[in-house]
Amino acid sequence: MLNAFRTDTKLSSRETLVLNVLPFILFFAAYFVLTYVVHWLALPEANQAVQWLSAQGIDSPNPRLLPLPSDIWQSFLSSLKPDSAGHVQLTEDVCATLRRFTIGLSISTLFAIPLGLFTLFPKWREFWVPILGWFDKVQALLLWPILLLFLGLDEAPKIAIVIVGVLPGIALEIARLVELVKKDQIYKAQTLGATEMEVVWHVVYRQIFPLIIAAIAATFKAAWGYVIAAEMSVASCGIGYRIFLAKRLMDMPTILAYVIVAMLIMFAADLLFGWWRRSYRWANQ
Amino acid sequence: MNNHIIKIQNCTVSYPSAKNGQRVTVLNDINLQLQKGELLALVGTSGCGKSTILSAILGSQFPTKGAVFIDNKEVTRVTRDCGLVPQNYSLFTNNTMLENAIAGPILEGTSLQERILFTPIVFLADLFKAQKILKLIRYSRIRDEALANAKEILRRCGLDPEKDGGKYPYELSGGMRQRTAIAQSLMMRPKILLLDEPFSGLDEKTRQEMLDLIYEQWKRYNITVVFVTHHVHDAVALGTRIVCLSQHWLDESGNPGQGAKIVIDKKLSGGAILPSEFVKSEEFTLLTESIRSRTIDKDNPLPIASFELTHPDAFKTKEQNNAQ
Repeated sequence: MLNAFRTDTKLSSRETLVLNVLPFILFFAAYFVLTYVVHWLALPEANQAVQWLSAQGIDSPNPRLLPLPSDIWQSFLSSLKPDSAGHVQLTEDVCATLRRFTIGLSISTLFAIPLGLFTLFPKWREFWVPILGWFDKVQALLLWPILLLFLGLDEAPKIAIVIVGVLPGIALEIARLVELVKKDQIYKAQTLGATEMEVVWHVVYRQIFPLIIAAIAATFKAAWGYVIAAEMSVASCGIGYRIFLAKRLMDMPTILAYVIVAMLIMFAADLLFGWWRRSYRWANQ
Repeated sequence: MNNHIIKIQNCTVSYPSAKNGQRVTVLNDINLQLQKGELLALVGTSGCGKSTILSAILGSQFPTKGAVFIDNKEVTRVTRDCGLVPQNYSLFTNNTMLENAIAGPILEGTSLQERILFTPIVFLADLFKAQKILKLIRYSRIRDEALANAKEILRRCGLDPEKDGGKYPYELSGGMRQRTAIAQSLMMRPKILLLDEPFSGLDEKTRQEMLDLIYEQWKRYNITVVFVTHHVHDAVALGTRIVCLSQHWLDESGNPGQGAKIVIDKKLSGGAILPSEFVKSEEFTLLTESIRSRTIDKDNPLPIASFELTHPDAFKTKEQNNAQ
């Protein structure tokens, strides 16, 4: 046990794998045990146990709140079945959420990159950094009603909330990365004949590009959260909309199935961007 | 006007102190003229303003008073006139050794739009060995010409472009990185080469090899070199002229002055390897001691005075010494 608090511990790949997987196994095992106990308590033969719990002042938990893993799986499979019009509910919901997320994040990135890169120029930096810093502190969800009033109830506000929420953060992170570029490299490029714009492109952008990928990946969670929250408020399809609908129907298996799908999508996106960033081997040193 | 390639005229650099807002003088009324082809070694202790002079010549630091001229034109920004090899490795980390070496000709010969447009096309044409397409693209022709030139210069700098050309800076040793940085600057045939403590962090053997390399390139290209160091031995070995900066000096009335001044300005032979007779001589001891006392000993500031060097070996070239 004491070894767990040593900084110089060397781990084999097997130990690393075990330590990585163990928390997942423990979490799911705990969930399985808990759900089976709760469901057993709902059976007539568990009457004595329920009475004993009541005597202790503990209410018998509602089994609908903790669905069995098999129920979650069934719910997942049923959401993959096409309806009478041939629409697959899960696919349509995931595509709608992904589309809003991707468009919002792409527009944010497209504007944040030049905004951040141009902070290399002092006037540009002094003009943009304070206002971006201020907007970065504003919680985007607070602006949601304003976005609805200005942009209507269609797709635009759901994309706009992602832009408002993540653009300042990405731009500020790029501005911070720009500051890390050594001045000597900029002077060196200028002695090699680079113009100001070539310095931005050749020296700054290309060298910090892997870190920009990491900066974008760091905003995934926030952007994903904004889209889902917006869908819970105003939408006719999407992961957030479906979870909100399932909540009204107390359909816990569907909620958990969608939560797992949303989590897996984020996990995959994070892996993809991590792999993309690491593919620039010179940046990993 | 005159044949001075660099002219530093009454150059004073000062800035407000972060502590109390009072102005701190870094350089105090520096006057220095360099003729074409000189190899100036600028010595002094850390923080005495050597790099500030270099920055003023480069155009990245503007004097508070006075001006710096290159070829009689006032320096107002960083230009192609100077090549720079800074103290910290300044190679572009995302480029290989060869890509770093050709960065200059590519930046100079092609436009940004051209590079953005043609880089993927040239990459694909390279991949499929489509020589006809490559010959049609101007960017590709400039790149190939630069590559051939870069390989030649990298070889002259003691590197093996065939073996190491594809390596990124993190895969190169400290010496190889500095050689690449020198080759990168030489590719542009600058009027002036500025070297800011280029040997810091290098071992003794590499250091000597680098001294030889700079000497050889200086001879070959006949460029003006300004070489900043705090090692007196390197300065005396390499320079055709040594200039010592010190913040510890007395003015005409005997009061300690503010900011760095040139306390020794002496012509030398320059030759990368000091003749052993000279190193052993009293003259050398006197010179190095004089430099040390004038640059380091802040408790005993000395009046600004000329220092006469008379030892015959000190004025011989490396070739003359080798011939003996």
